[in-house]
Amino acid sequence: MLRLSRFLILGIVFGATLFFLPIAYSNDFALTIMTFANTFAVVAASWDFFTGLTGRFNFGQALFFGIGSYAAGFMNLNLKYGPLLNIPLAGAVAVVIGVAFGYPTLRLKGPYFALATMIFPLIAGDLTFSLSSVFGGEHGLYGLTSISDSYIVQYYGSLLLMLATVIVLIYLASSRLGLALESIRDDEKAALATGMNVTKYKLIAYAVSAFFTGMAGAYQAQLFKFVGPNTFSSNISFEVIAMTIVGGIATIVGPVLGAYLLVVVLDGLGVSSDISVLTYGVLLMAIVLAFPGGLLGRLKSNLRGMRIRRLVGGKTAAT
Amino acid sequence: MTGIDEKEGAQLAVTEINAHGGVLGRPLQLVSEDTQEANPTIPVDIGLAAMNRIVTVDHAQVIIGGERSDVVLAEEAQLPRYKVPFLDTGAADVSLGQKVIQNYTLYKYFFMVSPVNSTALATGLITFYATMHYTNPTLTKVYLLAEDIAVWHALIPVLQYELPQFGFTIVGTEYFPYGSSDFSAQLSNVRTSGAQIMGMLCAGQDSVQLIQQWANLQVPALPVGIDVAAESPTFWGQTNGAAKYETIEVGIGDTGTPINTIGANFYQNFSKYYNTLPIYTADGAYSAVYIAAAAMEKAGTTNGTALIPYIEQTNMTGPDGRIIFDKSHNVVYNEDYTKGGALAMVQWTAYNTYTPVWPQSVAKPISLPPWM
Amino acid sequence: MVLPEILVFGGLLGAVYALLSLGFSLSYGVARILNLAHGSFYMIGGYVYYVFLTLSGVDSVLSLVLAVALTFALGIALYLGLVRPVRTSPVRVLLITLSAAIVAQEVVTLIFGDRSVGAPFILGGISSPLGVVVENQRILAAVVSLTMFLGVWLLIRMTNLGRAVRAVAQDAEAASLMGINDTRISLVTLGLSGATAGLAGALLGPLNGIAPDAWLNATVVAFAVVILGGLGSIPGTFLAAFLVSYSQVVVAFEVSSSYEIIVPLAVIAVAVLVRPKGLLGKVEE
Repeated sequence: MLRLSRFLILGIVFGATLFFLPIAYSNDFALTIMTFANTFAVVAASWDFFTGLTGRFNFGQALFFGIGSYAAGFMNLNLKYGPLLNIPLAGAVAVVIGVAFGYPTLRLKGPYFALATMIFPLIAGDLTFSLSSVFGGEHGLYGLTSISDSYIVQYYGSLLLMLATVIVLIYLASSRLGLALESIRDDEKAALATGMNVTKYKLIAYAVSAFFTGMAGAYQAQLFKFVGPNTFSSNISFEVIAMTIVGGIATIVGPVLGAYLLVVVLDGLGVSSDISVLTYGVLLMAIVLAFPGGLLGRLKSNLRGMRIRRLVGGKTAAT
Repeated sequence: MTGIDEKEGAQLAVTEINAHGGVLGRPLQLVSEDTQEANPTIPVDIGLAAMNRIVTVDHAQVIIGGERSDVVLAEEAQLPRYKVPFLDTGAADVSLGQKVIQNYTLYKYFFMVSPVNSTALATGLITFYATMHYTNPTLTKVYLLAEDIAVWHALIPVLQYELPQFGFTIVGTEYFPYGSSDFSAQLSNVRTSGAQIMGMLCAGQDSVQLIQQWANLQVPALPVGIDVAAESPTFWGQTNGAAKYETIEVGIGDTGTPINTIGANFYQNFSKYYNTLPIYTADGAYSAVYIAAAAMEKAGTTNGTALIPYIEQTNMTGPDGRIIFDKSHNVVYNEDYTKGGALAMVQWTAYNTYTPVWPQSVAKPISLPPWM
Repeated sequence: MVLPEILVFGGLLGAVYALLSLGFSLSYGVARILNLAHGSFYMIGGYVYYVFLTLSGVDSVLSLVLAVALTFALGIALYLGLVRPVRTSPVRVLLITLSAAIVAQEVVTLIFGDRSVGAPFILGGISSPLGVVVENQRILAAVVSLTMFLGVWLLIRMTNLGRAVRAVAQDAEAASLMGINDTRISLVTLGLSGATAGLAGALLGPLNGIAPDAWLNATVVAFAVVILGGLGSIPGTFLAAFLVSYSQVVVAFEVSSSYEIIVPLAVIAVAVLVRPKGLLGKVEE
């Protein structure tokens, strides 16, 4: 049985606030910002699930986002699938392609893996230009159908997606899968020595991360009724890293908070995209510098870095 | 929504209208959001976010703007949600208008005020080529060089089909990525093909580098075509003078010599207020504001959907000629500017100066660079 | 088939790529620093040249020298300020250099706008090697690049400093046991890295214009060259530079310029997956 820790109660209160937000504050602009924030929260949480739990830095989360977006756009235009169908399908496509990339690259050493993850979205983005007859080139895919033109419906849709993602990810993280991943992260050699199939677990985490991020991409596709090559942009990959590190790595909810904070502040103020990216960059630099002893070491001493299992009050290993 | 020139042109119109009592007894107000479209690397959703903001935050009742076809296409798809008329003053892609015909109910909000659509641009260009061949029969070999974007993909086949019928041989066709900066391969190809004319089509800032490199390498082919960046008076400075001899298509109101009183007043006031000459998006935005104001007066309301039929009925004169919309909500093209929007070709000759070389009524002879 | 064009353009480009990648090879092979902001030195070098020449009216050769001096200093500053504190974690080095590159891009954009800027050449006019018309500046860039490359290579081979650098590259721990100051070597390496990339940027920049996002392409090319040529091998870097430049030029001429960016990316992807050691690599990662 799950013991309700105080963090979980806080989470429920927060969730309720989000739920009733449109009723209290029905400003269209605010709703679109929050909708956008929700989709980013999904991507950031997915990134955290993989990187936080495996300790392997993924510098190209945008790969899954773009694949999900384009898959949804493609299915919508060519197969006439509605958004409710193609959002989960797009997630599945992202998993398939993600695993195809993950399988060869996950064996690589840390920096090489990080670099490979950085390269692949760039290649994918270039491919949308080369295969422009299918993917629309710089035009992208436009004229997609959306779930609804109502800002309120879109907000609740994104909220639902975000909550579902966070709940599933927390559940997985606090399950045996999460335990296995953390033991790999903390000491891969020891994990290997126990006979654990390390690559398989990493691949599963990668696939989970891909699935939810792909769905977020598909959600945004129907929100804007448009998909463009910028869905593979390194800015996205970069921003979710910043959001997660600001909010607290390996916490799943930390990235959500980070996403809300950064999207609401930067997009809400209508800050120019240059200043926005600059802020992310400076923030990331400052945080990476400010925590000596390595990011993983920081995890153990970071007050905001609540361990997943503490959240739901289950048994924890000695920290 | 984009471009300083558009904003200034629109602001000028707003100021003039307000000086005459505004619309429906109230002053017009201009609000603006930057979609950053001009930068090819900026993604489309910045434009969509700006559009979102301009409707939800600024409560715009008519939107004027647009430059990049891919952004405007995406924005067009959003219009049914916002139910606000969008008067495009920069993007020329013919598919923008085709969607109005395909699904009137959804896309009726879209109007292309300026320039004339890409098909009309091609027609104007071809007519110029024909004239050029007539006066210079030795100029026959053309190398077509265009950005790899949809609007040119639609235009190039038209050129490929028509130009041979006027005595030209197309010795090569090449697309380069939008946002390129290194044209050594392309210019090499132009040179080795023996072309005498470099038929260029550029909607973005690529031509700044292309023309400079063309001049540095002294490629013996005259640049002729559509070049949006080259329409700006600052282009000479941007290319350090390499723009000399480039020959481009512009709206007839932009040759430097106004064609009607409206144009003359527009030029005078614009230069007075802003100390610079306007480019095509400025007069488009200027006219667009007048169109919107007139529609509001006639409709008696500012409600977007109600304005549509009145905008459709627009029949007024602007700096580029008569403005009438066809069924696809594109401004009608006509060689005679009293009957529709008309075009001209100008050649860069000196600092901040280009001279018209077509149509005949205003033309001076074309000059060739010294190395040709 | 445009063989002479390919030969000439590919060769001239390869020389500059060699210089650009040399710095990356040094910082990665010697100091074990994967500097994702390497391309930023290229970009900044180009802008510094532009600023001094166009905005301040300084002589073109002097502007070039200033560009090199400034990027050298920047390399050192990057190491001291950002890299050294996080040196122990390669992933954090990646993160911080990536953020630095992005911050540099945005700052330059905010100052100069996002359009490319072009500065006048040091050497004007055109020549026709092998019957191919090229700007003299392009030839100058290649000649200067080759000279500098040779100079640095001789430095590494012949001087005491160079020997120390090679020692650290081979075995950092043993080198420090022998009394070689690791910080000094890293400083020199990063400084040289910045200076050579900055020089490449200042030379090549005027030809095609330089934009704030030029760092990405430059970093990708440098990385592709170094990983293809093999870590720790300067001759490998030289060879790979031309392999990459020729591949790009062939693709640009024969297929389409749209694909030329994929070439270095594909090289990295394949090398990382298949043979991380590279063609002539001596150093095991």
